[in-house]
Amino acid sequence: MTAGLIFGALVFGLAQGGAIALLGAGIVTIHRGSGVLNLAQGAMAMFATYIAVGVAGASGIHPARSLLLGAFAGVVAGAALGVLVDRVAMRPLVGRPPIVRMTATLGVLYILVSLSQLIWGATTRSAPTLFGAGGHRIGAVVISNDSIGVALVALALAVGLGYFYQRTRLGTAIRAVADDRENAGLGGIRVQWVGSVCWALGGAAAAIAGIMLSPTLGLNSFILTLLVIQALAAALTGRLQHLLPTLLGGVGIGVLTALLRAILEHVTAASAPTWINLTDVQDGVALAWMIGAILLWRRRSRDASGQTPNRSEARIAVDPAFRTAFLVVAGLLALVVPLFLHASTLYLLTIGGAYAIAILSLVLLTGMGGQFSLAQASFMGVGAFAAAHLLRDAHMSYWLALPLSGLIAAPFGAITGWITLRAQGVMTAVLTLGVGSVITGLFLSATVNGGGLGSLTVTRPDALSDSVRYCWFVLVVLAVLIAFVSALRTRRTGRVMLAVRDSETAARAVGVNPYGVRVMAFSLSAFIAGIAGVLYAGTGGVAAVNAFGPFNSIALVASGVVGGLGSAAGAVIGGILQATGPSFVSGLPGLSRLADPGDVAGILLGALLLVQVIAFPSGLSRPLLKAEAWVSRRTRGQLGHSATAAPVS
Amino acid sequence: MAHLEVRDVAVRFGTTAALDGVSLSVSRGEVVGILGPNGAGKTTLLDVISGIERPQKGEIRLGTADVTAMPVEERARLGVARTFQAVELLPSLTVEENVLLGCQSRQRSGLISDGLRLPRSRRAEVLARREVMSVLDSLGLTLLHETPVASLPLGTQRMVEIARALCMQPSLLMLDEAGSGMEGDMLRRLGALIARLARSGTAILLIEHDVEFVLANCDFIYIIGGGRMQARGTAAAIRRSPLLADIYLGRAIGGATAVA
Repeated sequence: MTAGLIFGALVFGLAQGGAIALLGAGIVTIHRGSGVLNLAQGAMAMFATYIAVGVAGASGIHPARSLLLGAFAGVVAGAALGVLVDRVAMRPLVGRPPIVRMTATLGVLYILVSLSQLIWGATTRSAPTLFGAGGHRIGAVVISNDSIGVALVALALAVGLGYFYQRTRLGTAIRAVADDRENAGLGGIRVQWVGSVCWALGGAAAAIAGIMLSPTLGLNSFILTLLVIQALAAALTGRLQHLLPTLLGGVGIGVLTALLRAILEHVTAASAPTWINLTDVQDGVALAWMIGAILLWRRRSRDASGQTPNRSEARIAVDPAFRTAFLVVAGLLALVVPLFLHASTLYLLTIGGAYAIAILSLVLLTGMGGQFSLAQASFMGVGAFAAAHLLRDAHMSYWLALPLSGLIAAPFGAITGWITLRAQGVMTAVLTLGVGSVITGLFLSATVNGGGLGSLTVTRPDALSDSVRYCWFVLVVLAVLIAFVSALRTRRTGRVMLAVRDSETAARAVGVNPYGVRVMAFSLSAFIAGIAGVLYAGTGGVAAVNAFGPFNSIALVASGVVGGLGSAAGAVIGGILQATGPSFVSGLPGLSRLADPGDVAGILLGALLLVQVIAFPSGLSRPLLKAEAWVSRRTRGQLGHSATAAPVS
Repeated sequence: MAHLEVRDVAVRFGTTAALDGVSLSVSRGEVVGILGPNGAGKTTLLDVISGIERPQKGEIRLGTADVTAMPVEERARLGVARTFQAVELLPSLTVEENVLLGCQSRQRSGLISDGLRLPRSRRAEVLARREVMSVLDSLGLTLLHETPVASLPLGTQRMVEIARALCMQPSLLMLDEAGSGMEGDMLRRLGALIARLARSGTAILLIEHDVEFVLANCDFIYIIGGGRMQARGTAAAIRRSPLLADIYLGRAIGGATAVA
């Protein structure tokens, strides 16, 4: 390959990297000012860019000026969006553990994505560049005006931000708040106000990054939203605290991605490998960069308190006899109800069962193990595609392929657990987001799996071809896995997991290796998620990549937190919620004609997540379990039974 | 030969020397106490022995093994058990579940057998619970076994932590301020327990602010100050030491500035 090609890739990468750096700088600014790791940074960029493009298209004035006007409107909208998020969602969460506040930003992300699809539709638009078409010829290579413009704007803004931090009073105040919130407050700095300013700055930076990137990347609800992964990798370079390393990191990621892509295109021009999708190599670069950055951190990053979004609370004791009666009734309902359901409702119940299994994998990992994961949908995808290949290519029996697919997903979980060993809390979340995007973007969308947004069929065996029987089967698998996870909770393995979650010091003092437990928890969780993926794919008969992306992982976490990750009941509630949300919305009078019910359901789920995290941190399952305990006490009183100590069952 | 042998250990935090050439030994069946003002390095010494802190210099031997570079959990499996000054229990779990953790490394059940409730797991669980109940019995905690630890007073929580350590069947038991938060009767029971454990061959190392408790219950006492051993001797000898007055009054000894 020629030096010219490399040079061209270098300049392109510099421009892209500059915009990524800006997005990362926004993450760092918000984290410094308010202590929140904003996973919605990309979503904010996307939303502001839509507004910029909309204003530019609607202003009806001279094109050159309308573009500037649009950009201005976008930046203002981004800043306003930042302030809005801070006031509505973040203020009520001040003082809560970092992972909880990060979970709330997932709610914001979900709302913004759903809202944007509702308003602007699902098609990818091309966004106009501010810097005009054409370019300059340097040697054999043409450098586009857009690349040059983007690089220059990024450079100017980086210098400006640096000056702002170092030389202005407000910048000093932000640095003071970042160093020590309480002391800054005592010193007369209005901490909350500084937080809002940082959110505004972060939102504006996101808007600029989005406006500059969308001409090359295209504009839809997901592209910019998921760019947060690269921006997070950049921000990790600066330990979420320092601006200069973040900016350099962003540029480094951009350049590395562009160069790698150019080289790979050249090398694989003759025969592209089928097992990996090299066009989405940016996620691989981002993940590698994240791992490198975390390994370079001298000490492990720690959250002072609380690893889980749902608060860990004492178990609610329910009379064993009553619990048995309750389970028998639930089992009978599961047996009878599918017989009388309309086909579409039956489909939703089946999907809900599969989602419930996927969320159960989070109950195990997050609720019991204290580890956060944004890669669960990718593990589902591994299971689903493994099953598709086993059934189609290896002609394996379904009954063998199902557990084997789970076993194939398990090592992916083990590797994820191993990668996150040095991280805690929010860092684990960021890393798993990177892992998930690599699994889905690079491997699940490889040619062997249909390529791009491809899909493979997952055929159900004859015994399960009837949809009522399949529904029963999914519910039975759910019941078996719930029994498995619940059994762990009362035995040694579960106690050891809880120990690692609540006090690593105590766990190690009694001889538990916390790293081993973490890898074990991730493996088992991926196994369960893999099974869920096969069952999910089996419902529609097809494994499709776009059902197993990072965005789906985020949805699983959202539903799980709303249901409550502290108990298996939370998984069931979350699964039903996620499956029935869209059809519930379309059942609302008048709404179905106005909008896509899926988008409205997404907005509702995001809002529900915010309300849940802010007002009811234990999840929906908690009050239900309390009610069950109350009824059990009442019935026991009525029947005149005496309380007996629970035997080891 | 002593069961625990600490030789010439040094730990440095930045520019401050937390421990500077400290040596100590504890034999099986012996109760050794450490006295010293705040910031003298007592807890750091226990951290070095249990493996939480890695010394820059020196050596730690347990039995015949050199454990200086061994991680905390492996030392625990070799029989090193300890309690913590700031209690490290799992607040959302019951007393019984917390103490059961002490049995975990001897429980013969794993992920598969636990999840499937195999007989093997059931047997291990019944055995462990029986053991835990007898330990709780001996500490007078039986009635509390189903109580979540978060709702217990500090002194009782310390007892639960001791129960967990006992379930590890340790060869070396280290108690960090175990008596603080305990009242007269409970403190006497703790003393009796220590004596009983020593008779059964456990090596015991304890840190305590209550000087009288240490003098009454320990065979051998070290006085530490400013990261160095300032004095050592039997309880009778230490009782005559001029340093004891400083400790009673909370004065710094050995040129150390007292840091809480």
